[in-house]
Parts: sequence; structure tokens; C-alpha cells
Amino acid sequence: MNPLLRVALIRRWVFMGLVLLQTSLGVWGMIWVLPYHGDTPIEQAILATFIPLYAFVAAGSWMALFGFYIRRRFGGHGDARSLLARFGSQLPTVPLAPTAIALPIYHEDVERVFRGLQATIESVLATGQGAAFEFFVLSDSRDPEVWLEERAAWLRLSHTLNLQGRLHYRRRRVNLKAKTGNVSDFLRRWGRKFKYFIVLDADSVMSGEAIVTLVRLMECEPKAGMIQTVPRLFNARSAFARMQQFVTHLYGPLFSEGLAALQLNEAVFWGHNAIIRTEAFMAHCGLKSMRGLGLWRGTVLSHDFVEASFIRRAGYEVWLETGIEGSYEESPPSLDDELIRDKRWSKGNLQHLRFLGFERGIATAHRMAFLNGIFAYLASPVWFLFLLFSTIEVAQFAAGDINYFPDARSLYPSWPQWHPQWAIILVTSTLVTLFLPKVLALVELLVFDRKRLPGFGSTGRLLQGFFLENMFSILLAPIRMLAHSAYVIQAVLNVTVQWAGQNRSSEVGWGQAFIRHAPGMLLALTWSGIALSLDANFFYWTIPISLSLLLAAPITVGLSRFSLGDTWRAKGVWCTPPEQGLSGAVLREFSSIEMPPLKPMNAPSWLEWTLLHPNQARIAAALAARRTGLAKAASHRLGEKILAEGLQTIPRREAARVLDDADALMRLHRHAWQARPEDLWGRVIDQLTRSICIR
Amino acid sequence: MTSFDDTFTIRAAQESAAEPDDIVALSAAKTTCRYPEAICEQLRWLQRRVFYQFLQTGCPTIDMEADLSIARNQADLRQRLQVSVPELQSMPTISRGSVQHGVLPPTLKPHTAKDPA
Repeated sequence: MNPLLRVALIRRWVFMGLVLLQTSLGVWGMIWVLPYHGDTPIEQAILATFIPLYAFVAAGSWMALFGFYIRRRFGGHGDARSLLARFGSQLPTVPLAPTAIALPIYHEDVERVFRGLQATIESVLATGQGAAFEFFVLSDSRDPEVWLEERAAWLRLSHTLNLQGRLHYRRRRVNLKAKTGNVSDFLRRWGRKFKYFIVLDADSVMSGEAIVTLVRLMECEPKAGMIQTVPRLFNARSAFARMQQFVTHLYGPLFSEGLAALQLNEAVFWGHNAIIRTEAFMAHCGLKSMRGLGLWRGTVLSHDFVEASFIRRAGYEVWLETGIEGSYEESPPSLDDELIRDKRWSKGNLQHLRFLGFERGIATAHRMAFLNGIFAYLASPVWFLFLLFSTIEVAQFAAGDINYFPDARSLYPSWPQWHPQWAIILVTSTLVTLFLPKVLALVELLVFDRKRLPGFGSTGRLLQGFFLENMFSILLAPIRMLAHSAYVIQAVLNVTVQWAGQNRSSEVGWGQAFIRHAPGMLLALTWSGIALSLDANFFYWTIPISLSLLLAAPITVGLSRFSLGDTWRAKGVWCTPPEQGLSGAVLREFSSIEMPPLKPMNAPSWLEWTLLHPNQARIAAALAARRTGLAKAASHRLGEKILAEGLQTIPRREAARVLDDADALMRLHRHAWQARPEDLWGRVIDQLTRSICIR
Repeated sequence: MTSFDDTFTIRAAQESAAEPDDIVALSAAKTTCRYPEAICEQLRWLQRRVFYQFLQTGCPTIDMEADLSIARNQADLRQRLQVSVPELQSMPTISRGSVQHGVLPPTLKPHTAKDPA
């Protein structure tokens, strides 16, 4: 047997054994807690929901414990089986192969995207290995106000870094299959030129050192099809984003190390900050549209897990390399933005049921990864049902509806028994399971890995941040549960998911928060009322959940505030290595890049600006598609229409098509500038000249 | 006249944003017409030419001794408008390949049939 597979199997069986053992003990405890010990239908329903929930929590906890063990066993240098451990010593001498760095974007904050890209490219160039790389911005943006700005930003960056011919920009005119279609389109046209490609997300930043290491590891291990890095959060400003950033830096290493240790060469791909062997990906990872029913029809939304399983099926290895530093991404700024993202992810993960059950040849480890991803969202409605069944159970007793013969065939009565001590033991064990990984991460930092401690500020502030984070995670859990439950239901009913760029930079208003969380608040009020009317003791048990739901709007608004994030940052709460300037040059470079506006503040829309600006118009003409025949005639007609009616009466996306034809565009440009002052376009020019001058 | 190579720069947009105050002083932005029509028209054409130059280069040069006749300004603007479109490529030459769908080939057994090494 392959030694790697042997180690993987031993680890996985040990892991499964421990999870199953703990789950069995938890279920046994639950059976004792239930008055009829699981003999009634409602108690069986409670147990049916309790078992997967408890197993899921136990699995997360044991994974972190594995991570803790691996980190201590190998002195914090990562697993001895990892690629970095095996090939680390020879890496500096390994020559690089041609690699594309691809950045797919869709309606993102242009300034932020190009700031991150510039920091990444400058870091790559600083390694002295820039000749091996070409950079591609792959836009799927449809709104001309966005893609024209993207194009201007690309030109400026090419000019600034003197990367003409190596920093490319492509906008897809037909956005088939969302991000997978975008990357596939790139690969079909240009993939053959590159042995590897690295995918970035719109908010990614990677250090040149990390990128060069990835390429060299691929060169060292020809069986590697994908190597995923562990992105850490950075650049957080709102209190919510800073908290998430603190979480990934403090607890993340334990979980990622545990995950990597269990998956070994059958790890998963998270969609970005990873390197991929181009030929293998093109040969095995194209995703068909699904042909099933409802949710399981159409584009695969969460494509990354599926691609990893497909490339593994073809014989290539997929690694999660925890030891590569310098891989970063950003957190959504608020809970609401995280939930919007989760809505898309929940549908994508539920689609994996089709691959979990019906796709041949997938590795068991990847089937488990699918299952884990699915249950990450399915856990919420299951938890909801658990609470519902528990309430019904209490309601039955409160109503005096005690059934002494739950089994109709039995001649002997079954006396309900209450064991509050078992309830306390069960709750305590659940809390230990939930919080032990966090405590271990803290202990590791304070006792075993003190060199990382300065990144988190003082010990006092670290502890303060730790307790605050735990408090907020308890408060946020029921809110997330309710939202995820709704998303799962919507996904199963196949409600359309909007594919849109994420909000990465704004606060949440009170109105928006109250509207979004009103159902949860109403539910919490109703549930608390029912609980109080049934049994005061039960009411106390429900408080942690109902209070969170009642406070959902203020929690969301408060945590989304940049001012609160700034204040706590000034006080040293939730400090992280990037904020302390201890995360490498690439993030310092990111912060110091000057990005002056691409057009004056008062200038007209990007479409008008492009048509009228002497250089922008010529750039647009230079990049226009070569139109002939009917397309040319259509562009000409559109140009004439715009010339006669102006831009106000024509929908923006339609009007932007005039940019596809150089002749029509330049004719418009020349006409506008030579138009008499009283002419339609003469007035537009007059407004343009005023707008860019008057403050 | 300024050649296209000199003017084809994205610096124009940057500088137009960076130095709006200077431009206010240079431009005839407040063109409320209180002059005879002929002068007003002349100012507008002059303004047009100056602005086109400004947007093109980010650095307008005002020659106070220049011939400010309408004909001269119109000719200047026409010349600027005739500057040709440059050669510019946003992506490299296409090198076509295909992306295969993730169907398990009949000959391929998971983990065994193909050893990429």
C-alpha cells in the first residue's frame, strides 16, 4: 500500500473512531436526559436531530485537536508528510515554469481589486522571478460603469509597473456559467501557454514568496494537481471583520493543520489562493451543467470542491499546504454581508449532494468533504428542528399530557424520569466540545508558540479579545442558524440566487438590519412567550437563543461600524499580525500604494467619459472588436442613434455596445467635440469641461 | 502639435484629478454670455481646444501670444481629433485548447490508470 495512503487511512480511522465514540457517549447521555429515554415519537425525533448535530460538533473539535497534536508533534513546522516538509530544502534551486496568475472579477470595487493586484505583482517582481509569470484580469462585469473603470485601472497599472504585454485584461461579453465559465474561457484561449495557473479572488493578496514557492512545489511533485494555501484575513476595519480576522489568525492554524493532516493528498480546493496544473485541470475538471431537477440543474455554483475531486479522480494529488505564509483575503464587513454570501454558498454546497451520491470514481475523502460542506448548512435547519421538537416535548408535559403507555403492546407503564444531572453533564460536555479547540489555540499561543504572541498585542488584550469573541460567537450562532435554515429551504425550493459581486466595504443601516432580522425577532418573541407560559425552567434554557435573535439588528449594526472597529483597534482588542505589521512586506506594500482616482470626482459617467476623453476614446477604439457585416451595420446604426438622441434615452448597457466598434466610437467622439455649442453634443462637451473644473 | 505618442498616456486622468485648482484658473469655465455673440463663440471654441489639449496631455500650455482666431482654434482641434487610434492589445494571441468535461473516461480507473509522474 502507498505509504501516504496508509498514514491517511490510519489517521482517518482514528479520527472517525474518536468522533463516533464521543457521539455515542453524547447520544447515551441524551437518552438519559429524555424522560421516556427515546421511547416516544417526539423523543425519537429529538434524537434523530441530536445525533448528526453532536457528531458534527465533535468532528470539528477532534479536527482541531488533531491540528494541535500535529503542530506540537512537529514543532509548529507543519506535517512531516506535507510537500513543504519533503521538498523545502531543495526549493531555492528549482527553476520556475510559465505560470499565469488569473484574477476573475465580477462587479467588484475596482480600486480595491487593483490595489491588491498591484501589491501581489510588485511582490512577485521583487523576488526576481517575475519573468515566469503573466497576469490576467478576467472580468465578467456587465455594467459599463464598472468594466470601463476596470479597463482604465488595468491600463494605469500596466503603465505604472511597465508590464505592457504581461498584464492582461479580458472582459467576457457573454457570461456563461459564472466564474467557472470565466476561468474555462480563459483556459480554452490561453491555458496552453502556461504549465500552471494561480487563481486569485477579488480580495486576495499573495506574497511573491508564496507564489514562487507554490510553483516550485508543483515542479518538485509532478503528481500534484492542485496546492491550496490557507488564506488569512487582513485589511479588516469594521468590528465584525476584525473579529473574523482575529478568529482566523488565532484559531485558524489549528483547524487548517488538522484538516490538512486528515486529508493529506486528497485535500480540497477553496477556489482561490491556490495553484493548479493547467493541463490536468483542462483535461479533467471542466464542469458540465447539471441535468437534474430543481436545485440540481444548471451551473455548479460551488465549483471548487468538485474540481478538486475531479482532478484527484484523474490520479493527481491535491494538497493543503499550511506552512506557506503570505496568502491573504478579506472578510465581509458585516454579518449581513456574510449571510448574503452564505446564501450563495448554501445553495452551492447543497448541489454537492449530486456529486456525493451519484458521481463515479470520487475519492472517499472528497465525498466526506462534500458531506461536511453540505452539513455545514444543513446543520442549521436540523438545529432548528431540534429546538422545535424539544419545545413540543416540554409543551406536552406542561399540558399534563403524560403517556404512561408509549408502547401500546406493553402491559407495564413507562414512568417518565427526569435526570437534571444528566442534562447538566450533557450541556457541559457539549460546551467543552465547542470551546476546547479555541482554548487549545489560546494555550498554544501563550505557552508553546510565544513567538507569534506579539502579533496579537499584549496578553491582557489577547484574553480580552478571546472572551469578547466567544461572547459574540454565542450571540451570532442563533442568528446564523435562522438565516441558514431559511437559505436551505430556499435552495431546496430552488429560489434563484443572484450572482453578484460582494459588498466588501460598507456599514449596515438600522432600517436594513431591522427588515432583515424582523422575522427572527418575531420568532424569538413568540418562542420565549410560549416557553414562559409552559415552564419557567424551560424559558431560562431558551434565553441564550431568543436573546440573540431579539438583539440581531443592534448586533449587526454595531458590529458593522467602522468606528467601533477603529476604537477597539486603538485599544488593542482583536489585534492580529497584519495589523501589527508582522505579516510580511506584501501587506505593508498594499497599505502604502497610492491609488488616485481614475477620473475627476465631478466627471460624467464612465461611458460618457470614455466617449469624450481624447485618450480613453482612443484606448476604447484600440480595444474594440473587429466588426464586419451585420454587426458592423448594427454598431453604425447605434452610433447614429446616440449621435442623434444622446445617451440619456438609450439604456446604458445597450449604448455601451457602441464601444465595440472603433469607427462608430471615433465618429461620435469627433462629432461631439466639433459640435456647435447649441447642439446636443455641444452642450455635453460644455458640461464636461465645466464638471472637471468647478469644485 | 503634440504627437500621439506623447499624448497617449493615462497620466491625463490622474493629473486632472490631482490638480483641479490649477485648471480652474486656466479654464474659461464660467461662460455666462455677456459679450457680443462673435466673441462668445470665439471663447467657446478656444475653450474647446484648450480642454481637449488638457484632457489629452494633462498639461495644457497656453500661449498668450497665440493667434486666437476661431479658424486657428478650430484647425488645432481638428488636428487633435485626427490623431490616430493606437495599436493596443489587452490579451495575448489566442492559443486554443479545450476544457474537457469531468466525465470519467471508461478506461480510467480512479487513482490507478493514470500516473502523471
